[in-house]
Amino acid sequence: MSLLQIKNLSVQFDTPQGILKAVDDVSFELDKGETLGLVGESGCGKTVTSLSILRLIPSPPGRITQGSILFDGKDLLKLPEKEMRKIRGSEIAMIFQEPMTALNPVFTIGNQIMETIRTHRKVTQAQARDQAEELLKVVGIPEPKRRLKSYPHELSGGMRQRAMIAIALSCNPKILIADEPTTALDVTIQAQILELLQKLQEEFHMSILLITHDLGIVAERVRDVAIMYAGKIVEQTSTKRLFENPLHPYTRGLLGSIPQFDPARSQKRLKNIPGVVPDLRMPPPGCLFSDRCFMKVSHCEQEIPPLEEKEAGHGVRCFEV
Amino acid sequence: MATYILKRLIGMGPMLIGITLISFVVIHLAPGEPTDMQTQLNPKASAEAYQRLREHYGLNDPIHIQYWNWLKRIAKLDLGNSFRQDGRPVIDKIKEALPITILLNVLSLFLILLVSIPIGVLAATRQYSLFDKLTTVVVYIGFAVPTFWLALLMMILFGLELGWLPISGLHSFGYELFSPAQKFSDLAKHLALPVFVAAFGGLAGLSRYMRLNLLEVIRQDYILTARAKGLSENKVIYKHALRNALLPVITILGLSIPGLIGGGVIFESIFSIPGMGRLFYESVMARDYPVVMGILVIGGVLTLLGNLIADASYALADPRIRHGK
Repeated sequence: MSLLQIKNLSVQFDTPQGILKAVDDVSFELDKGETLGLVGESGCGKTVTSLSILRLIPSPPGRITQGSILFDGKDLLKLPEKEMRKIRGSEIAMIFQEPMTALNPVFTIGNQIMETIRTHRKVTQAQARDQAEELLKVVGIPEPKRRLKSYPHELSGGMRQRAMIAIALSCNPKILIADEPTTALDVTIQAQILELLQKLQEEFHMSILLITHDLGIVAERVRDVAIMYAGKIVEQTSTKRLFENPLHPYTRGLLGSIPQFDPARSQKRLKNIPGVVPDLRMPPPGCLFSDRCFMKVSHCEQEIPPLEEKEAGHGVRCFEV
Repeated sequence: MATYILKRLIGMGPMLIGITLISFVVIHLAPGEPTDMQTQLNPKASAEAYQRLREHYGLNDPIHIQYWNWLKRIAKLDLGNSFRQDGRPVIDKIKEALPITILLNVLSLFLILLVSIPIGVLAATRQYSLFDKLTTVVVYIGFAVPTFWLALLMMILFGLELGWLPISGLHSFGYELFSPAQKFSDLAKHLALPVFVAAFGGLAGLSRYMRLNLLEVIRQDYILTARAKGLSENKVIYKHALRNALLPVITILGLSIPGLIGGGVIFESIFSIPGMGRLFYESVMARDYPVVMGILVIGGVLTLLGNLIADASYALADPRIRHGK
C-alpha cells in the first residue's frame, strides 16, 4: 500500500489579476521506501504541490480548493492544525532549494537541530545535543561537536544543505520532501548531496519526494516520475519507461533539449521547445501545451485532454498519443 | 573586536576636532556678542567698560587665536566659565541640567520601546486587521500632532480640569522636607505629563518600523523552514522572526543616545524643566560661547560614542557581524 496518496489536488492563488490555478487536479502516490521524482520547469506547480502536503501554502492568497492527501490512511487536509504540526518535521520533513537562506542566521546549527528534536520528542537538552551531534556525523559534516556551535554563515553551501538534511532527519521522518535540494549548489557538491540522500534513504527507510527540474538527476536515482506542466501532470510512469519511450510531446521536447556532446552534432544549435508557458491567470481553453506543440490537431485548443493510461502504468495527458 | 573598537576610538579624535571647529566658527558668526547684555543694553556702562569686558573675554583676538585658546583649555578638560553675569563654571551648569534631561528622555524612550514593540509585532502578525488599522491611525496622530500643542492640551485636562497632575517644574514647594517616598511620588507626578507627551510623538516611528521589519522577516525562507519543522506559530514568530526583526532596532537605539542628552527646547520651556534644552537655548540667546561650546562638545562626544555602542551591540546580537571582521 502506498504511504502517501494525493488525489485530485487543486490549489489556487488569488492575485490582483484574477485567480491563478497553480496546481490543477494532481494525483500521485508515493510508496514506502521509494522515491518519486516530480519534474517540471519553474512555476509549473511543483513547489506548491509539495507545500500543500505540509499545508504550508500561505493563505491568503493561496487555498487548496479540492482533493485529498492521504498519509498513512489519514487525510492531512482534514486534520486540525495542532495535529498537523505533529506531522510536520516529524513524520514528513522537508528540505529546500536555498541552503543559504533556509537556516535562521541568528541561531547555531545545534540550536536549530535540537529545537526540532525537542519539539517532537520528550528528551533532555543533553540527549538532544547528543542526537544532534550524531546527526551531523551521519550527514557527513566533519567535527560535528564543533559544528553544533557554528552559525549558518560559517558553513559553505554544501555544508549548510547537509545541516538542513540533518534537521529534516532529526525525528526519523517517513517521508522526506526534497524541493530542488541541489539546484543552488555546484555540480560536484550536487552529486555528493544526492548520494547522501540515497544512502540515508536506505538507512532511515524513508520515502523521498524529489522535486527537480533536472531530468538527469531523475534518470539516475528515481524509480517513478511525474512530469508537470502549467499546474497539471502531463506524463506519469516509471523512470525507465519514460526515458525509453517518452510519449507526451512536452516530455519529448524536454528530452530533446538535453545538450548532446557528440562531436558530429556539436555544430548544431541547441534544441528547445518553441514558445512560452501560458499565463495561468488567463489560461487558454483546451490543452495548455497546445500552443507549443508539434503534434497539435484542431480540437487540442478546445478541449482539455484527460490523463489516460496509454499502456499499463504509463499515464499521458494527450489526445494524439 | 577590541582592535576594532580601538581603531574607531582613535578615528573619533579628528572628527571631534572638526565638529568643534565648525561649531566654534558658526556660533561666532552669529550677530551679537556676549557683552551686549551687560553693555549696550545697560545705559550705565561706558565705552571703556565695554572694551575692558571684551578684553576680559578675549574677544579682541582674531577668531583662530580664540579657537586655539579654547582648544588648549579643552585639552585640560576645562570647559571654562560662563560669560553670563553669574560667571559659573560651564561644567557645573551642565552637571545640573544633564541628569534631568537624561532622566526624562530615558523614561520616555523606555515607554516608547515598551509600547511600540508590542504594537509593531501585533500589527504585523495581524496585518490588515482592525487592530493594525487602529494602531496605525493612533500612532500617526501622535506623530502629526505638534508636541507643544499636545502638551498644552494635556496640561489643561490633567492639570486644570481634573487637577490630578502638576503642570510645570520638577518639584513641589517644600520638596526638600519630604520623606523619600513622598519625594519619589512627587517627582513621578511631575514627570508623568512630560514623559507621556515626549513618548507619544515617538511611537509612530518605532512601531511602524517594527511592523515593517517583522513583515519582511516573516517572508524569509528560514521562517518557512521553522514552520516545516512543526514549530508552533508562537515559536515561529517570537523566537525565529522576532530576534531577526529586532536587530535593526538596536541601531536605532544607538543612534538615539545623543538625542537623550539634547533636550527639546520648546518642550522643556513649556513644562519649565531646567534641562539641557533650556540651558542651550538661553546660552545661544545670550551668546554665552563657553556654555554653547561645552554642550556641543559633550553632545559630539556622546554622538560618536553612541554610534560606536550601536555598532558594537549590533555585532553582539548578530553573529554574522561578530565573526565577520
